[in-house]
Amino acid sequence: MRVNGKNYPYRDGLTLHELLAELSIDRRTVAVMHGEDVYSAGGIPDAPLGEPDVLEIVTMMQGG
Amino acid sequence: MQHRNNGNGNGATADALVIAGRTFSSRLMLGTGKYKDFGVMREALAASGTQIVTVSIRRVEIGAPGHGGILDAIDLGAYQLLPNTAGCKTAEEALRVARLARAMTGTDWVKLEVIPDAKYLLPDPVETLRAAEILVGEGFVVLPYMPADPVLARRLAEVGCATVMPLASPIGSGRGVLTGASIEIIIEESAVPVVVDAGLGVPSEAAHVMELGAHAVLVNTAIAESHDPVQMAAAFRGGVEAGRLAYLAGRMPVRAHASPSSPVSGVVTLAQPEVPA
Repeated sequence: MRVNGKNYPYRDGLTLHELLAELSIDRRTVAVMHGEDVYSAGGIPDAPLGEPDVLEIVTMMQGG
Repeated sequence: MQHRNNGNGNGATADALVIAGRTFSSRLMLGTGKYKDFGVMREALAASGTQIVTVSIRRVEIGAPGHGGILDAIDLGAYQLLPNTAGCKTAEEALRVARLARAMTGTDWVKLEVIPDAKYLLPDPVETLRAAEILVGEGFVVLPYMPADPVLARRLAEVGCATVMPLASPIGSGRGVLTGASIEIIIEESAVPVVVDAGLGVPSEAAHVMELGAHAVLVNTAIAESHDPVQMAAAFRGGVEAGRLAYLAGRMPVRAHASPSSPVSGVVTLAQPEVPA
């Protein structure tokens, strides 16, 4: 599995909520792209994950 | 939304900036980058009177808790957020970041940046136009950062961009208005608001482009990297307001020769002047 450009150990049955919890990420403070699906902060489903999945987990930062 | 009194009751308070149907009394947009801490940033935003602030969208650092500081640092409801696609080198990357930005911020507004070159951070006109057209089709309010090219400005407006944002000089350079002649043409021809973005170093430069008729400016580094960002934010506010009022007032004609300000008749003269005639 690829998470934010890095390999991440996949295990059977892993879901998106479990992954975010493992990463100590508050679901209300990030948006997620799972394949081509984009989920809003506060509206991230507990989607099942697969070994080949590619995830982007982003948040708001300073910028010009 | 606050409405400022511009001082002399000449109607300037009703002079609103309208972008995609939203009305703003401030014509100064602020970036949130490069501030030494969030406290200074917050105060600078307040001192500037801005109503539109840019933010970036970045990957959460895996294994580094404590992200999301800006979420707590600014009152998100007080501003129109303008997430950018900074860091994107191609249209495809910008599309992904724009979609994530909408999901993250809840706004359809996006400052489209497609910048393949790290040295001068000059935007790619072809990829910018391509991404803009697709994003407009997806319902985004697109504010594209662009080279100061009048033809590109027209093309971006034609595909439905809400503004055009020509650069004054390279991002963060503080070199001021190097593209003034092109910006004048863009202003003259543009069907959408012209927001001069990037390179402004001091308030007089903001005033200058506002005097030319720019509808707004976007400033980040000039404020964040000044010695006193809060004071500089107030200074830029003054510069933008002065420039706008001057534009509305209409400048005097430029002449090749002098034109006396005092009456030419009735001058007290000596019978025999001491200076050569």
